[in-house]
Amino acid sequence: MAPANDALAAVFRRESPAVLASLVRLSGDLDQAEDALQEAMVVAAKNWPARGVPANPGGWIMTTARRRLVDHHRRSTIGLAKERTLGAHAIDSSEIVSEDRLTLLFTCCHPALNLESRVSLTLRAICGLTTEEIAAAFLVSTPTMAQRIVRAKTKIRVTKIPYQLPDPDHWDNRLSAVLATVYLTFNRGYDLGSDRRGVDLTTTGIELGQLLNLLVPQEPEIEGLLALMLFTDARGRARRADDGTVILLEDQNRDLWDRELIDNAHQLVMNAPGHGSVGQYWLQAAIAAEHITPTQLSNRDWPAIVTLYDKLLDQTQRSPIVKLNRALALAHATNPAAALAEVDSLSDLLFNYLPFHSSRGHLLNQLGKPDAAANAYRQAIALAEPGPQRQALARILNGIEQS
Amino acid sequence: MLYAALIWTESPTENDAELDRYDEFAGKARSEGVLQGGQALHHSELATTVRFRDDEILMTDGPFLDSKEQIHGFMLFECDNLDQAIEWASKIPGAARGAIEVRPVLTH
Repeated sequence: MAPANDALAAVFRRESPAVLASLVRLSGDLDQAEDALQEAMVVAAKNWPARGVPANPGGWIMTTARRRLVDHHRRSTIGLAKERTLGAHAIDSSEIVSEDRLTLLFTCCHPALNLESRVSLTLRAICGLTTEEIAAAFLVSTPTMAQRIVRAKTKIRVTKIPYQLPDPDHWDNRLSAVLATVYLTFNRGYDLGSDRRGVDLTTTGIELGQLLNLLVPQEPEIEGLLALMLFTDARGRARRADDGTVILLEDQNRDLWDRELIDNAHQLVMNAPGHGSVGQYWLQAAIAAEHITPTQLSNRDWPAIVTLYDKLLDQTQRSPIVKLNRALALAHATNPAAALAEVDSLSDLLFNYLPFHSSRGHLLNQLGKPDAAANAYRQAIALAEPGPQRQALARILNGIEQS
Repeated sequence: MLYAALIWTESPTENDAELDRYDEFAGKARSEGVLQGGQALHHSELATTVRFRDDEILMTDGPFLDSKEQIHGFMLFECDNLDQAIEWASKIPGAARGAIEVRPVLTH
């Protein structure tokens, strides 16, 4: 039976990233690997409709692409030594090895590349997205995105960023560059919200996290980041009202939460500390767990949340935004006056940060100071973009002024 | 592959302790076949920036860039890949107080 074009495209999309990574190991060059893969897919598109999709489509593409690589090297005289390598180890080297994908991911996320380049290259080489899809998700033109990817590939090739896993000495540093790339992908998808164009980067980010967790099992920060993304995604449907307003956790309809994702995330959070020392992603996931897993919001363990924030502060160079969030937890754990003192101490650093003012407004109102609260909300509104969020703040301000 | 390590610092190396560290570093890098050359430079205040336009030599007193950190030395490393070059660059004494710019050398 002849597979339809869509079915072929789906097979290519599923199989090609792993094949590409193994081709990079063989050729030592991303461009050559991409060309060979492309040619193999053209051959497949010609043969499969008549003969049917082979039992092991990835293996079929790999074998065909490997032959193309050998042909390519044969044509270039300098490639003779390489051809011997490709031929001599034909049996083992033609296998698709899952570690190859991890190696390529670490290369695409090398800290010598800027974060934008890392994300673009990862989406292209590891996730198999097209340049058009990546450009649309980052709201840039396709030629701009193509240029960014070419620049990143050129930097890898010319400066010889190696296709190899980092030494144990550099593992933590290199892993954190990979995790930042994955988290940025996920957050980009989250920011786009319902405005998603084509690909859903939240799903892509989670899939990257799952791939990492599969290839590097029992690494606490990978488990932490995956849990953090799952906790966030689980509440995706409950997070926005029909008009696009962000609904705070306290006001979300918990029936809309995805229980299965929450259970998976919770399991990861529980297991990770047994696998080694935890870092900022696990701490953020653990804070999310404290908010989400109690059966009732009133059962939240606020002192535990404050303790987690204290540890997170140590991991984030005492980020003022983490301090602000810690202060809001402190309002519950102790009292709003203590929290307000903490928030006020951040005014120099966070004066242009909208949540700083809305948090102050909230605390001042709780403390029975409506005039000061109204002023704080006015400053928050001045910083808000026109739209649902500004309207929501205006409603709160209005409520305070009426009372 | 040859890499240039450009040493950006606020001032040239003056104190003896740092000079000793440079000697020690250069000795190790040379003995491992990595260090292929390099020099320390006088203070950027002594630089002259030269241009050639319309058959005329134009010059300005001072370094090309008006920035806090200036190039006060360079080294050439022979390394297999960027990771190795970065590893060596991180051990240049100037990396601890300034920054090292690692650039592959263009070869034909």
